[in-house]
Amino acid sequence: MKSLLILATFLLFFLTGCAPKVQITLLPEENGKVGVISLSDNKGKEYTINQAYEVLEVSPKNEIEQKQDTESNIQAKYAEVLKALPPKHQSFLLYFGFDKATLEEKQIEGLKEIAALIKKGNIAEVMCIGHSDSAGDKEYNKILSLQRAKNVAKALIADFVNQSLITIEYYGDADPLVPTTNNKPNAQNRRVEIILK
Amino acid sequence: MRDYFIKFIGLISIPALLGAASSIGYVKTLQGNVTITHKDKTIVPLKQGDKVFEKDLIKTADRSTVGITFEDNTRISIGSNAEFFVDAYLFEPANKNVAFKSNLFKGSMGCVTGLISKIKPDAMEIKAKTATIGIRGTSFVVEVKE
Repeated sequence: MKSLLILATFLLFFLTGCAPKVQITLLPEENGKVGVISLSDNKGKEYTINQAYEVLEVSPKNEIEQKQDTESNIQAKYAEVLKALPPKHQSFLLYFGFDKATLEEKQIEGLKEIAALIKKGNIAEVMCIGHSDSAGDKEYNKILSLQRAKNVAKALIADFVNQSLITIEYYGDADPLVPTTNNKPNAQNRRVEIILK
Repeated sequence: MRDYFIKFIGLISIPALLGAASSIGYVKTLQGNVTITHKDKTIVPLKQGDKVFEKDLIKTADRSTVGITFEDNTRISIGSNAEFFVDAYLFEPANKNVAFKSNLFKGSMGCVTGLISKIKPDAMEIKAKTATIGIRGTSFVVEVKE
């Protein structure tokens, strides 16, 4: 009986040891902030990790174990995959006046430098993303944000950036830099973001 | 001249918008042998600068890795001997119409989330074996241990 129990324990250990496990490790972001990852186990219990290098380990039967690892362990263990992570894009912001889509002389000058950077670098795509603040009609804001993005693209093309690199997008007020209540003018949200990919 | 210029801009901005809808990301880093199996079953060896599409299956060989930057600025890397599938990718930020569902069949992946998980916190999901991982704006590594 005892030997059977040992055998059963051994078998269980062997089976769980060999079966694929999933391990999720939370990392700090570049700005030091740490996000949240949640998972539910087979009984519906939710596990949440929100500390850097905290780990959730999931068995094939969907049992979850939560533990804390260290920075040095994780950096060593995942060195290969972390090294392959693409660097953050270079991005630039241009701000606009209330209900305005036109660029100021100073901004047009600044765009010349960005255009030079694009022509020099190994850039696959130049995204011009228009945004508005939340003041006014949502549909109108989409068009306004599109016009802002188009004006920036125009200026870059005038500086001899290859037009086939440029993509234009517009978010209206869907992605504010500074979250505000609805219908609020906000100078920081009236912007075009240029992202060099 | 000015008129001509405005018409010219009108012409280029439409294809630019259409172009953004087809591919969903670019290969930014690459090491060793990495292949992509497109939706139509064609298999292509990947090189730096290549485009990535929805329903692509990415496979890395021994000592091979790939790093991809997606339209919404989500950045991922895939370690060696891995298989990663982009099940659904939707990025229409103006309408808050976003989704990013993927599957890590084997190996490990690193990720720094972008705008999709910022715009809609429950829009990003990675499946790894029995686990469906919901991600709210963060950086992490997932590994499927065999």
